[in-house]
Amino acid sequence: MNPTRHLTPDEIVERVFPADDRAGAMPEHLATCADCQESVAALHDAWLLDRGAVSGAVDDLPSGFWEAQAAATMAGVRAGAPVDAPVPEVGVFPPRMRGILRHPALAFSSLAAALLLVGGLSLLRSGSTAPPVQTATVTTSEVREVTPAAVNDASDDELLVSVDRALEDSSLAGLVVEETL
Amino acid sequence: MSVDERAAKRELESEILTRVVAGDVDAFEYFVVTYQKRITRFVYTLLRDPADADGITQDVFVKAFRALPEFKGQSAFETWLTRIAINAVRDHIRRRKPVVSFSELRADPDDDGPELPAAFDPADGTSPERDLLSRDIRRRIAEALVALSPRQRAVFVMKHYEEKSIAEIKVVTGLDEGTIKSHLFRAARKLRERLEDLR
Repeated sequence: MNPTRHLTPDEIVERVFPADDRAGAMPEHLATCADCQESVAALHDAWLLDRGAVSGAVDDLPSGFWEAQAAATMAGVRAGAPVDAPVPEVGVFPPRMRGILRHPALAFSSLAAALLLVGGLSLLRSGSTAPPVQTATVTTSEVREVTPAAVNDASDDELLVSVDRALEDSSLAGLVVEETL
Repeated sequence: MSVDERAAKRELESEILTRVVAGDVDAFEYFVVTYQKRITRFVYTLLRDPADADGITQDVFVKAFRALPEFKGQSAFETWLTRIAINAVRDHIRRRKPVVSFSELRADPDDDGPELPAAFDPADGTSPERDLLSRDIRRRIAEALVALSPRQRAVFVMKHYEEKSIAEIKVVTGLDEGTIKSHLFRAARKLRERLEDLR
């Protein structure tokens, strides 16, 4: 290197951030040039300041932070948290609701089935002569065809149990579908 | 840490790992408590975002726990954990595109930059001039780091912030020496472009 030439910006960076474990030999010019020494020192100081700031920012965190982080981490470990969900989401909707929002068709079919059942029950209770309510779209095995003429307390109870079970089943089915999706 | 201490630690960790793999989930807490600060610092240095650093650190441990059957003990647990952290940060960077670039933030002289929680703000408690200088330099270096590729960033931080040797970086990343040096050289060059007016 020409001893009278100032260090290039690359050479200055190389002095502070050597790409090897040891910095190369100091250029002869650097030993005597105050300007170049100042340039190297400015970058070196900036880097030291940043390194100290970053390190201090973490090291100075209160013990409560580390305890909380460890507790949250262990909760994630115990729960077998999904690998692809690193940061717990904080959203407007609870997780179950977000799951439904991801599968609107499923949500609407469950809602429609529930409305059909509740509507049918209301008609039965009001003694209407409405045609038989079919619930086959939801759970054909659970809810049978109901004729208004046969309505009495016993069948009311039976129907209520069926409605409960049908709602419960459709909700569980939704959960299973969500998870497998 | 002496060679003996390192060997004793490795033996202890091996015993704890055996317990964890056998079903003692609570024993895993040893690794969380032992390495959470180091992983948080590493991730924070790479991303400069306290919330991301916290969340990704938790994720790193959960991933490590789930991948424990794959850990053969050929490297130290810490090395393996660091590798998981690098991958987690890389995935995070790929997933997230910055909405506002650092250069846009810098254009506004009245903007103090993104708010840092008090505990994460090292400028707290010093003089206003120093606060300003600290914030400015931190932002410029963060800007420079953000411009690096995830791999360059990881190699650069390990070398110049964690003071790891090329050989240590080689163990963690699996890259050969020439590639590591090439990453370091390119990273330094990009930093120089961003910090040029410091000359």
